[in-house]
Amino acid sequence: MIGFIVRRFSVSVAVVLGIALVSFIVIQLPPGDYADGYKSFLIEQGGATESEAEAQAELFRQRYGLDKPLPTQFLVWIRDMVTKGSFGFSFAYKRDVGELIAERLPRTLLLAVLAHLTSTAVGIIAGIFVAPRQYSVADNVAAFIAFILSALPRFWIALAIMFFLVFTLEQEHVTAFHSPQYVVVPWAFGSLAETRESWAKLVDLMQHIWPVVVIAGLGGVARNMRVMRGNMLDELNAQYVTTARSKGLTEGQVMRRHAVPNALHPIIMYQGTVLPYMLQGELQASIVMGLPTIGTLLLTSLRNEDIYIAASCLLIYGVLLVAGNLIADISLAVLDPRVRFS
Amino acid sequence: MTSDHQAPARLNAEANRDAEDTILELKGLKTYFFLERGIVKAVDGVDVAVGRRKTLGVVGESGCGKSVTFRSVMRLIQSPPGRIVEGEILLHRKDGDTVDIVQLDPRSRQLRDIRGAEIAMIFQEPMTSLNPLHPVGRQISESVLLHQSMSRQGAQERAEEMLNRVHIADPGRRIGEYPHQLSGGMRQRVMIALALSCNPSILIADEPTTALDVTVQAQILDLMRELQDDFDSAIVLITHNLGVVSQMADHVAVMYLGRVVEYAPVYEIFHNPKHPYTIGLLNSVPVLGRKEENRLVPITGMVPSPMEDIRGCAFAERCPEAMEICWEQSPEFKEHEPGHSAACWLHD
Repeated sequence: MIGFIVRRFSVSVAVVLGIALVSFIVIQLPPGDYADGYKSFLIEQGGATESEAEAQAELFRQRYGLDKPLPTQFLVWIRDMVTKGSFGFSFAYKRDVGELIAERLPRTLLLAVLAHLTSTAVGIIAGIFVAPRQYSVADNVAAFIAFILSALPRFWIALAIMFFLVFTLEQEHVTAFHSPQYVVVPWAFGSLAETRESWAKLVDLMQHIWPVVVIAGLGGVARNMRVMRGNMLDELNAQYVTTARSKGLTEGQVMRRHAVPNALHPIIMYQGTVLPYMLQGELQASIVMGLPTIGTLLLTSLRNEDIYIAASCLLIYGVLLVAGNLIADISLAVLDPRVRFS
Repeated sequence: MTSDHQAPARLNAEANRDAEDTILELKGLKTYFFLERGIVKAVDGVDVAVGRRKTLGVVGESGCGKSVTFRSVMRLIQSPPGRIVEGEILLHRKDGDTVDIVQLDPRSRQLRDIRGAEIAMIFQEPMTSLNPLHPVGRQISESVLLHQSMSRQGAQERAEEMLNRVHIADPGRRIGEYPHQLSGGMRQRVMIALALSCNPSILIADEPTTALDVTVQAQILDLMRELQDDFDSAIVLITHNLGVVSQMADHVAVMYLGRVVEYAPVYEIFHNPKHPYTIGLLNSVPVLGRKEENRLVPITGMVPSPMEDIRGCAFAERCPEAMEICWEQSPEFKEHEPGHSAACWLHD
């Protein structure tokens, strides 16, 4: 088991390095760089002449190493990441990219993981519920809802929910994690008053983020439910389920001990690929809802070719994907002896 | 259809003669599948009895209803679409009680107490009949814990003992292994261990050796015979292999299209077959050293669809000896010689 984990882990490290290279190349693909944008900014807004602006842009390139050949830029980026833990410098924010991401990553992950857990739990339970009732009214209603949910574009749901929040519920602040009065409240649980305040802040947080969690998770609920239903139907027809019934187990025991663990197999297997799917859902929902997460950061940095932010965001997504796959592989090995021993 | 109702009465006479020695009786059992394209009469009036500590061989072509008949006994027919529409399944329990399994709710406590403890079942596909996620020992002890008041530790020991009984080497290590680590023959041994772990009085074996190599088949059959003596179980052996039947069975029921067409002691079936279908089956079995002029004789024609409404005898259109009456009226299943019943006009 340990050997299995070490093996999978070393493969993951190699994959992450590959992703770093690819994300860096992808970011360089669009013509021009941030200095070009800076140059046109100087000409249009600062009234500089073409040559003055070009000189400024050249100076900018030298300062941030944009004049060096691409392989050198890449190696410097990787070197700083490994030795200094620095992800580069954001031209637009004039700040260290690592700091920017560190600020937003926990919130992003919180949203994505919440969405993921909700969609997985709800989807699996719904799938287990409808499978033995194949083609019943409940099954058909669930299928209908699932198809609607997976077909509706996320940004549209986000707009609809925002409309509902603002005009029907008259919630005042939608595009933030907290209402203004809670922003400065610290997370503290020392005294009773502090705890009460923190609790209120948590409730406030939930009121602001549930739309993103729901939107990012909805498609997942539908997908998990359909997948789980299909798996359950396969497993319920399997011979070993008949064996279990012929032992004299109750239908509940047959489901819990035999059918469900086998049916979970494919769901666990795609957990790794579903994390980026959730991040993507979070990305879309957050951009529409205006929550400052990595999604919005990536979008703006791509627009103004803030290469280190963009490349680092892609890298982070890549790392999360690889980590997701690694976790899925390990969980599968824990669940299924055939994976463990091969 | 009127003939069906007289048939159980005849069997009854035989059964009453040695009621104590009968453990399971099926009377006029009908299991139908209600599909969109019609009703499949998979089991259409089966009368058969299983003697205590005896082996009943059930033979017939694929689709003749032999598996469905005994899955009905375990109430393992998926419903919908399947349903037992008529008949009785009488189980004479160890304590002298008689239960009609047809009357039990498939989800009821009484039925679950019968499954595994009184009637156990092993299946054709040893590769898929064990759960791949649990060690084989746990799959056996699960059944033991269900039916016997025993500690987890005791059940585990029982599992180990059972693996030993089915001649699996190093059972202490094997109980911790998973099905994919065992060969097909070993898995079938595990299934037998699982089935016998609670001392059932009836073991239903649904083509237990069909998926195995010939040498392994013989070992598994030997094992079943040996354990039958040790555990005092009756065996229902469902197969299409007449060789297996001749080695194992005390009585044989030949099924055709959802009905038993001939029932007799094994010697009678092989040496004095009465139904043309039985004769056809015997003729289509290769015998080593048979002369050139006695080549295999296949039964002509195809099995009619179980959805068809057949007038007269279901076998008439394939029967070399079909007479006028065979097309008109279905023959009664009745005793023609003591202990030897058949449904055929030839013997009336």
